[in-house]
Amino acid sequence: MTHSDCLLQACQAEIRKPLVDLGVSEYSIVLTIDSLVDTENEISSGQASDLLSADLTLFKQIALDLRRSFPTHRTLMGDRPEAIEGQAKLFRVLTAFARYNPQIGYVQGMSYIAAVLLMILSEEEAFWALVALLEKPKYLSELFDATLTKIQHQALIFHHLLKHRKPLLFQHLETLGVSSVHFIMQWFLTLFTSLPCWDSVLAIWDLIMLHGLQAVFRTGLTIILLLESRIMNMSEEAAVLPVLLRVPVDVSQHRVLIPALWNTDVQEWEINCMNRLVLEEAIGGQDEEKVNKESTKDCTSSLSHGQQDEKPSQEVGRSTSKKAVPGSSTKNVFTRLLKVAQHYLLESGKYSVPAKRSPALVRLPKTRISTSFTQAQGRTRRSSSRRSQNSTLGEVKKEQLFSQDSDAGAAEDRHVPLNERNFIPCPKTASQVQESQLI
Amino acid sequence: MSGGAELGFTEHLFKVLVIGDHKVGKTSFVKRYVKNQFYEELKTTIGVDFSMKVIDWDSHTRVRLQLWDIAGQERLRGLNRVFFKRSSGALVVYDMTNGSTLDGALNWKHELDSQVMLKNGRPIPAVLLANKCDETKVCRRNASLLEKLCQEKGFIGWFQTSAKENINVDEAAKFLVKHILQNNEESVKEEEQNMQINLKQQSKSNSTCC
Repeated sequence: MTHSDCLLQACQAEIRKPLVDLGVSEYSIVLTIDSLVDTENEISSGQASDLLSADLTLFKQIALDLRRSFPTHRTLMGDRPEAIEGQAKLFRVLTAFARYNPQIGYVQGMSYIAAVLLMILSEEEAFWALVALLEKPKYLSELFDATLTKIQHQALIFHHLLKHRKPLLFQHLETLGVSSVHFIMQWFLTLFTSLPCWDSVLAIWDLIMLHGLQAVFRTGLTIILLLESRIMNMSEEAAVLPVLLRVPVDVSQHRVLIPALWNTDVQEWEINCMNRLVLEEAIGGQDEEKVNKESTKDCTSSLSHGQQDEKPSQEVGRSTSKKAVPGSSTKNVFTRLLKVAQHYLLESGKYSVPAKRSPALVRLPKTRISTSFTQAQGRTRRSSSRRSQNSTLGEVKKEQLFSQDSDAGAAEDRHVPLNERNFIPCPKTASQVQESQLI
Repeated sequence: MSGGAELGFTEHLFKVLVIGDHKVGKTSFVKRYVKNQFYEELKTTIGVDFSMKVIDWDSHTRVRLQLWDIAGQERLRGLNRVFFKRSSGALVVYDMTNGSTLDGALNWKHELDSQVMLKNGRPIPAVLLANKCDETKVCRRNASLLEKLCQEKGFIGWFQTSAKENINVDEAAKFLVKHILQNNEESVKEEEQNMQINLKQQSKSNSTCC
């Protein structure tokens, strides 16, 4: 604990230095934001170091959100001493986190999560709780990153989950042009704190603390299922989006949402399968592009190589318009999905894994699950290594993460550098794809 | 983007983006425009917010505006392509009390033009909004600068607005809608022409191939 004390204090001290340089404190930052803007202009005209400029951007971003996270909560609203202290605490926690983990830094949505933690915990506890939430694979490490790539990926996973669970609803949303990224960002990045019923929010948070990211998906699915009949009766995007972005009280109230949440189940393996599907689609899309490119090879110039390189990342971000995945790769995906599922069911039947994991029962079955997954993954790995020799390293990392993942966020994973935990592999560049095709 | 005509009555559906840097007043602008309300403290927009405004443009035209209020932090982050899709116009907002947000607005405009365009390849109409004008006054030099910026960067015009004091909110939106409607008419005409050309070509190619 003393070690962690020091860490937090070190982070805060590091933050305080540039604050002092700017001549403000965390108590006055909201009020002095305008003068900070002037300072920023001075900085951009070359009067201060780049480092300070980066700090200033961060401070400004966070300071602007302090009052806009829960604008009606007594610890954050207005200019009363309690609110000033509340805002200063939130500022300290968020800046300290951005310093503690610069790879993530500050992403909008975090202020909501940190504010809720501060409503319940002391400042230091809130900081460490935030660190745990944002860094552990079990929780939100796959939601937050500086470029918002991860949340787009999760939105795609949700997209697939919905497609498999509720094909009709999915088809309807697809027809209307509603993309999951439109509402998933708000739901997931704020951890549902924008729901209008606070008792429901707290119950959802309890579930998330127990089950992690899986519970986030579970809640999302529950809400959309509760809205299903309503959405099915709507005939345009403009009607659907407001309902999703501002979930009505009759759906979010405790006695409706929470029982429905208990009746909706989303398993970890299900999310993992959907994750695999999304990754496959991204790669499949590239292969398809490759084929297209082959056919028009004569007219491609070296210039188009550069353009091609940009495509994969766009491909990952695309949520709705992916229809034309080549038939063969779709088939492969489903065969693989089926195998993973079968494997899971067989293993879980053998060892009778309880649906709700109680800590005492966890150890043995869990290691079995992770090995079974690893075997399944081994198969996948072999086939995917045919596609690309280059991605072996990425695959190993993925696998490491995988066992961590089913290890329910064990304490030692703190030492793994963040970028290694990121199991969304960077999409291969076109040139890599080409190389692997040659092999 | 336009609905069916019935006894000379047309209904249009347009998607309008509201973009600009963090906390320049995008959500406030939309709230004022749609609900004629102003809140001192609004929640930070995460991802995107969505509102709808129905305008009876004239006796035979109704315009339904979808306003997509996009979170300010998301600039240049791959998501914009998803959010910008199929939009017909944009309100690019900056905060007059904060000069750096004007640069931000220009970046947003650039991003917009690189992601979407009209069918004829021209940029979609965008209006520059100098928001929070109740807190400051534009001096003449500033006005001429903005005028010049609009021409350089391809905005169809600019307005000093205040969501708080309800200054120029309706006017700015109306100005944009007018341009969108014009573009729409033009594109309908162009499409008709293209259709005719295509038909001619098709009949030619049909005769050759089978």
